[in-house]
Amino acid sequence: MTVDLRLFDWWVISISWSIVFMSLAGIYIYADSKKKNAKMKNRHHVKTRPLTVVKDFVFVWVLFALLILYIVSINIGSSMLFAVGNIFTEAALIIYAVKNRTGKRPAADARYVKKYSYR
Amino acid sequence: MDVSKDAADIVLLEKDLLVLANGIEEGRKIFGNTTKYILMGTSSNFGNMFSAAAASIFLPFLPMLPMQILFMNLLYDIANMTLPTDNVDEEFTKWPQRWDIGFIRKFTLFFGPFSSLYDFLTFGIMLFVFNASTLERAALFQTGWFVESFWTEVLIMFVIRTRRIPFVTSRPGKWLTVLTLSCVAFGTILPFTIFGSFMGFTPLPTEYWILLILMVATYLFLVDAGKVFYYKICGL
Repeated sequence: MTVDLRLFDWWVISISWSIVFMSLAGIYIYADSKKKNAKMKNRHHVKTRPLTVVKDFVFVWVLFALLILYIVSINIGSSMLFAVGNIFTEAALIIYAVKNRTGKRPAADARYVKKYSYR
Repeated sequence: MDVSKDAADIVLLEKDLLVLANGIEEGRKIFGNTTKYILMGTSSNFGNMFSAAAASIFLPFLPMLPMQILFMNLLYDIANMTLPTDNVDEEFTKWPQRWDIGFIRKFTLFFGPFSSLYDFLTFGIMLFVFNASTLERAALFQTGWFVESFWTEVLIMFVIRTRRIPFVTSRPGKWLTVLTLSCVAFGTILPFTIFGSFMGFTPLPTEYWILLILMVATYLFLVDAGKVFYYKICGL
């Protein structure tokens, strides 16, 4: 299979950019929530262990692995690699979602919770 | 009597204070469904804008014809018509919720690129697996993106509508399910019809459908896991 290199390069940049953007958005949201938590606890800075960050960002590592899978499988034109990789990723994502899903309710304004609850 | 009615903020038509509680719950359901629509709309539009902008830089033809984009939006809106009848999770109606523009902004920024990722993947499959990189094969590319974009845009509704496990611990409304799946079925058979060829579509190869099913399944699981990640890092 012949691949137009110029077009392929554009494609790799575009697909990589979407993952990079998602990761940056994740980091921004993470930093923002840490800042808010520190503010609520009246502290200026809350130390976060590097290992905790690595564990919290497992999902982002999955994204990067998925990106590599997609680029490699399309570059070599292997439908089998694409299919197996997708099924494997789906299994990994299900395990991640089951292990990390919290049973918490969605954010409610704490001021209203007791005051206006009619139940 | 009329004076007191005029002065009152609320006039009860039944001798039962539970009417107030029911009214509040109904209001929270409406707010919940409105929020769902906004979250879905902003994130998918943000993603599509991203993909269309990038595709127009490197493609020698339009990634989708204007008529096809408008038709996809029409189908998407038809699928969304039953969203007001959708079930809202109990935990959402239990407490008052607040309009939080910051939450919507972050949600859009994070979830928008998910659909872009799969749009780009479709572009890659169309260009390098099915060789749809020339003007002669533009219809194949456009059809492939139309079907993928429509499937992901509509089916994601079932994942985003709840924080719980879709279909397992949170069932969508009956009419929403029926209408959404009917629209997906229509969008799928469209390229094989005369109306489809009038719209500039062409039948897709069988191999593409297999890849599409795999891709969309991964996309839905990815967004569900992304949802878990998002709420976890937000501390919600």
